[in-house]
Amino acid sequence: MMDREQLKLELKQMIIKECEKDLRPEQIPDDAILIGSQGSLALDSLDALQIALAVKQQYGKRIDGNNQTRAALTSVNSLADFILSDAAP
Amino acid sequence: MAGAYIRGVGLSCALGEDAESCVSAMQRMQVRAVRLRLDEFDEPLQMPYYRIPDRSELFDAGRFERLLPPVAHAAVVQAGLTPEEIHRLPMFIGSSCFSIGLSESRYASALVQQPETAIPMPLCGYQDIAVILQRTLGCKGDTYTYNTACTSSANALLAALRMIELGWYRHALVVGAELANRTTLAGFSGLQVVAETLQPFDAARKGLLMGEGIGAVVLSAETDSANRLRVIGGASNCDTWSVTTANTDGNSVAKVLNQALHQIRVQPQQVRGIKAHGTATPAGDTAEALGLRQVFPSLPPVSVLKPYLGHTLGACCVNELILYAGALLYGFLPATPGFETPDPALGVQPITTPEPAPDGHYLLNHFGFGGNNTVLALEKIAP
Amino acid sequence: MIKLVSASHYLQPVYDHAALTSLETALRGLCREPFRRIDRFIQLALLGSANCASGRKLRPDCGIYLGSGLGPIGNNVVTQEQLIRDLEIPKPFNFINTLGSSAGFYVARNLGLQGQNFFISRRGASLQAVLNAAMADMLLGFATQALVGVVEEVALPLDAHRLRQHLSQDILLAEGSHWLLLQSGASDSRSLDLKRFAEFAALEGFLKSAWRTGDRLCCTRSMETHAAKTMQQGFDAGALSGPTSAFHDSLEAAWLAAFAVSREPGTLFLVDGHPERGWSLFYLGA
Repeated sequence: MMDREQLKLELKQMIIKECEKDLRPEQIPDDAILIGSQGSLALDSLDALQIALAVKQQYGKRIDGNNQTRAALTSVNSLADFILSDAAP
Repeated sequence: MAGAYIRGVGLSCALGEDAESCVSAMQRMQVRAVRLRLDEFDEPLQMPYYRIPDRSELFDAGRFERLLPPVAHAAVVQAGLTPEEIHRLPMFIGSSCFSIGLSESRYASALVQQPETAIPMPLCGYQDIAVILQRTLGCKGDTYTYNTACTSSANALLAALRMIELGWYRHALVVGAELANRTTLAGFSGLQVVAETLQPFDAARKGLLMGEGIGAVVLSAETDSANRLRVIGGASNCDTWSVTTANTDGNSVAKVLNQALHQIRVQPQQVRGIKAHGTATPAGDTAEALGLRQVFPSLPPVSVLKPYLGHTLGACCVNELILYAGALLYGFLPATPGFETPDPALGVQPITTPEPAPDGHYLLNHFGFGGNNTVLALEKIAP
Repeated sequence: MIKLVSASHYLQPVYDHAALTSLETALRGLCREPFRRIDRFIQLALLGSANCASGRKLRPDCGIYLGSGLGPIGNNVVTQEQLIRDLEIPKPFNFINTLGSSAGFYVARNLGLQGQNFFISRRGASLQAVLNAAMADMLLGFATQALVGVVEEVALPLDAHRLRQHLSQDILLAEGSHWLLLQSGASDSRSLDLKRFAEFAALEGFLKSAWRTGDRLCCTRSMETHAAKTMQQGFDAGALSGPTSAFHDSLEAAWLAAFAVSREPGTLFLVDGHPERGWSLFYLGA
């Protein structure tokens, strides 16, 4: 079982790297909305695709157009829940 | 006179391997996609794909050189150019893939044979299509190769038209080429825009399907009196709203349509038909539909051709122009297979059975990544 | 009349075992917004175009004509390695930037342009291809202003970059971003003209009548050796001192942009052609 706190840190580092944001991991709250204009990170649907592919390649979990998996991209918390869940990849 | 005549065409796509049989197959509403499966990734990539129905393996390294020349040759032969004219023939090429498939194959075999010296992108740049066609046709003219994503061959055609109008060239060969390659197939899959069925402007549309196609058109300043098709103008602009789609408010699409109409001095109500771009992605069709409705209070018949040959990306303009122009000559406006349920948010309903094609003006839409929007105008001249 | 109102010239040799020059600091002062998701080819295009525009308010119909022989080669290399060697689906940003036109998108966005935006290539003569396209549009009135640029990027390692261009390993490679801002109408700046000739003799005759001491001549690399030699002997082309001994696929653009930026007197003649397709002559006047 992956350590949840460690995973969240990894995810923040991944988001910063993949989306080329000029931020440090501690500047992203666990529950900050990731995608869309109401989010503090100002990421868009193209960033969402970039993150989805990185999650697939690093954690083997697929995020696609399906509403349930798309909801995983809401925040770092939801992304960690999704990766740690038993749902088939 | 402004404009340039379509004097010769060649086409190879999922519908067939020559222009005439492609147009006939479209009239019969033939739709033939194959199931494609790429096994090399963690999870196999699967999608319907519109391939050229030649007998070779899809990724056969020899296909590029084998399939290109006959199409261009057919266009030049039909145009009836003299050897002297062929020698000087300039070439305007639009593609999004160029020789990338060949580059992939060579790199892949080098990785197996001599991994320590394998070089990625062993073929670089954009010149390979021009080099192959110049060698096989014997042309020595200027070459212009456009890479503006899905408007590539539209922009190539627009440039050819303008340079003919200036008198720089009397004839020009315009080529669109898109062949299967892993970069494009996997790249679009990563963008999650590939659907299982193609439903342009439909409420249930989920995305695009890709296809292969090579098209060639000889444009000429002059022609015999029997020729009834003329490209008369067009317009192109760049929408910097998003790198992947025109603004979904339709404003930049409306702007380029208005520019094209203004340039050819034609009112919206005089347009007899529209060949829409119709990728069937949710956002792409929204931008196009809202743009069309801003310009056309009541829409002329709209046709989408991608259900016949898939989205042939950088080549789609020349390929679809040949099909649409062929249909106009046969006297019909092509139907759009796959359209069933109108989307009230769009208000654009492509025709689902062929309709008669009168003489007059027609518009052809093309939109691409990088914000590129290009509209071309075609005239079917009364005999 | 087509006038050259501004030019910019960036040419940077890349030495063996050295890193590529970082462009980020230079870009920070030139970009309206901090762009993410851009590759080195886009950075080079942004740098050159912004320097050429240098704070001018461009006309709404200003077109962008970006030429390149190799395009975004660095990103293409990375994407092909990911796909073929590592068997991974290309990342969306990498995939989108494999297209030549992505650079034009960011240039347009940075300069607030919404006009025509083309990416055109011709191996060894991309400058001539974009100049022809831009001048055709200006002569026909489709644009009254044109931002014409040529960008060439180097992908490391250098030996592989030389091999894929069939260059010998002792050739010094360079990156470049060379831009011209052209405008229709009268002004006191240099004029850019284009003449086309069916016969070589006609081209030679025109050049003889136009040539003044101190003028410069540049023959396209892809031109037939015989014709280029005839031209160089006839017009004392030894007078042409190039900006560098380093190489990229569009060196003529470097010559033209360097000359435009230098404010040197005289005219630069750029000859391109072939006995079987005819000849074109661009000349940037005093």
